[in-house]
Amino acid sequence: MSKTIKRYGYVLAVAAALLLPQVVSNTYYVTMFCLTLIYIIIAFGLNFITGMTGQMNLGTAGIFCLGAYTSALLTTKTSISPWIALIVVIGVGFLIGVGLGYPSFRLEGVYLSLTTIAFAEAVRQLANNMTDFTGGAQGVRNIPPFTVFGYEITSKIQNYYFILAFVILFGFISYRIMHSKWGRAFIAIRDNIDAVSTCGINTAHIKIIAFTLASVFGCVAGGLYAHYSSYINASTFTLNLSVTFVVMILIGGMGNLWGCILGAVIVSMLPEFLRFLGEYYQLTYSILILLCILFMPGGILSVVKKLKRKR
Amino acid sequence: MSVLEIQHLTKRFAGLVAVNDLSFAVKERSIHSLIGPNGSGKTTTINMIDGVFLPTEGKVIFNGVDITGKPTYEISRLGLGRTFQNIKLFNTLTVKENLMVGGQMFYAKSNILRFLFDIPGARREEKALSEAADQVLEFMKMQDVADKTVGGLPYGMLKMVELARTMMTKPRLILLDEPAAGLNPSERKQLIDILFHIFESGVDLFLIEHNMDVVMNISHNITVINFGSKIAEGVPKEIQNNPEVIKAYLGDRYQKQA
Repeated sequence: MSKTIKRYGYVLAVAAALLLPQVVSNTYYVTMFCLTLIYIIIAFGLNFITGMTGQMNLGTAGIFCLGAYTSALLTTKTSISPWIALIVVIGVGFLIGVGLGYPSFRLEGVYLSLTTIAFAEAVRQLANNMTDFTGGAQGVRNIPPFTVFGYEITSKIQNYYFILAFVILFGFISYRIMHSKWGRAFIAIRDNIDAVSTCGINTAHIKIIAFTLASVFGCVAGGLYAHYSSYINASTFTLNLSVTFVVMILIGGMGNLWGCILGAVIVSMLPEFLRFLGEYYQLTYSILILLCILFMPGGILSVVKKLKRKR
Repeated sequence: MSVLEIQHLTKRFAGLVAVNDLSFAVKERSIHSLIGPNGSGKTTTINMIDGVFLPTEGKVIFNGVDITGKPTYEISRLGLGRTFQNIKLFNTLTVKENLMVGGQMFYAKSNILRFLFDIPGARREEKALSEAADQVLEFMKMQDVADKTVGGLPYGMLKMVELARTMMTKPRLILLDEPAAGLNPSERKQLIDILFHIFESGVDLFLIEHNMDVVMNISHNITVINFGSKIAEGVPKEIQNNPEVIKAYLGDRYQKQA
C-alpha cells in the first residue's frame, strides 16, 4: 500500500519537474533549476556513501571537478563527442571510487573526512596550476554542448530537460540499489560493521561499491555541468561546495531519495529567496541551516514522517 | 571426526598471555561448551577461531580446512557462524532485513553490474533471498516480528534475531558467545529449546556460557579453561566432579547435583 503511494509520489514529482520550466520560464530561474538538477544527481550519489554507509565524504567537489574537467578537456582538446567523453567520465568515477574507497578500510570518522578533503583540495590545486593542460585560473572555455539525434542541446530549457532525463535515470538506479541487498548491506555497515563480516560479506568490497557509486554519480554530474555551462573554472570546486553537498543530504534526510531531492532543492533555492536580505543573506542562511541541523537531526523528512505517525 | 580443531592456540597481547597453548576438538554432531572464570580467555578464543584476532601461535582447522588467519567473511562463507556476547545487529533495519543481510552472500550472489543490467534476474534473486529468510523465521518461530525494526525489540528477542541471522549463513557450526547471558528463566528455557532445534537440523554448536543450567543441560562435551590454559575436559558429569574445576570455577554447588 505505502509502496504504491511512494511510487505515485515519484510520478508526481517527475510530472511537476516536467511542467516547471513551462510555468516559470524566466531564463535566470531555469538556469538555477538546471544547477539544482545536477546537484540532485550528486546528492543521490553521496547518499550511498554518507547517507547509508555512514562514511563522511568531504571530497565530493573533487569528484565533481574531475568529472567536469575530464569531459571538458576531452571534448575541447580532441573532437570527441560528449557522449564518448561521458563513458570516459564514468571510468574516471570508477577509478576515484576505488582510490577513495581504499583508505576507508583503514581510516574512520574524522580521519577519513580529512583524507577526502585532501583529495578534493589536491584535485582543485592541480586543475588550477597545470596551466598548460587545464588552462589554469582561466578555466576551460567553449566546451561543446551535447547533441541528441543531431540536435545540439544549447538553450537553457533544452538543457533542463536533458539533465532531467539523467536525474530520472539516476533516481531509478538509486531506488533499485537502495531497496536491494546492496542498500541493506550499506546500512548494515553503518549500523554494525563487525556483524557484517560474520554474514560472509566482505565489508571492504561493499564500502568500495558505495564509494564508487558516489564518485560515478558525482563525475557524471560534473560532465553534465561542464557541457551545460560551456565554461568551467577550478574556483568553483572548493571545500565549501563539498560541505554544501553534505548539508543537502543532511537537511533533506539521509538515506532517502526524497531527502536528497528536497535537500538539493532547498540548499540551491534558499539563497534566491533570501536575496532580499542583502548583505544579511549569508548570515541568515547559515543560521537557518544550523537550526535545521539542531532541531531536525534526521532531516526535514524525519519531521514529515513524525507528522504522519501522529495522524 | 571433528568439525573444529584447535591446535596449540596461543594469544599474547603485549606482555599478557590471554590464551596459552590451548588445544581441543569439537566432535562432529555434538554440542561443545567452553567454560571458565571471567578473563580466562574464552572470548579471545572465539575471536581467534572467527578471524577477528590473529593467533600468536597455533592453528584452527575447520572441516578439514586450515582457517588460521583467514578474514572473518571468508570463514563465515565456509560455514562457521557466530553470535556475539554484546549482541551485534543492524538496529535500523527490520528483523527480516537483518536476516536478508545474513543470507545475501548465500542466496543472492550477483555482482553489482549484473544486478544493474539484469533486472528480472535481480528480482528473482531478491525473491529467493526473501523466501530463505521466511523459512528461517518460520524455523525459529519468529514470523510475528518479521517486519518490526530491530532497535525497539526486547533483549531476549534480539538474541533470537542474531541467532536467526546466523542461520541464514548456512552454517555447519555456530559459535555462541554467552547466548543465555541476560535472559530470564523462561527465555532461557526457550533458548535451550531453540538450540536443540538448531542442533537437530544438522548444525553443530560451540558455546561459551556462564549459566551452568544451560551448559550442563545441553552440552555433550565441556572444555574448562583458567588463565588461558585448559584445566579439564570431558562430559558434564566428569566436569561437575573434577576437583580442579570446582576449585577454579564451579564451587561445590554443582557437585551435589551430580
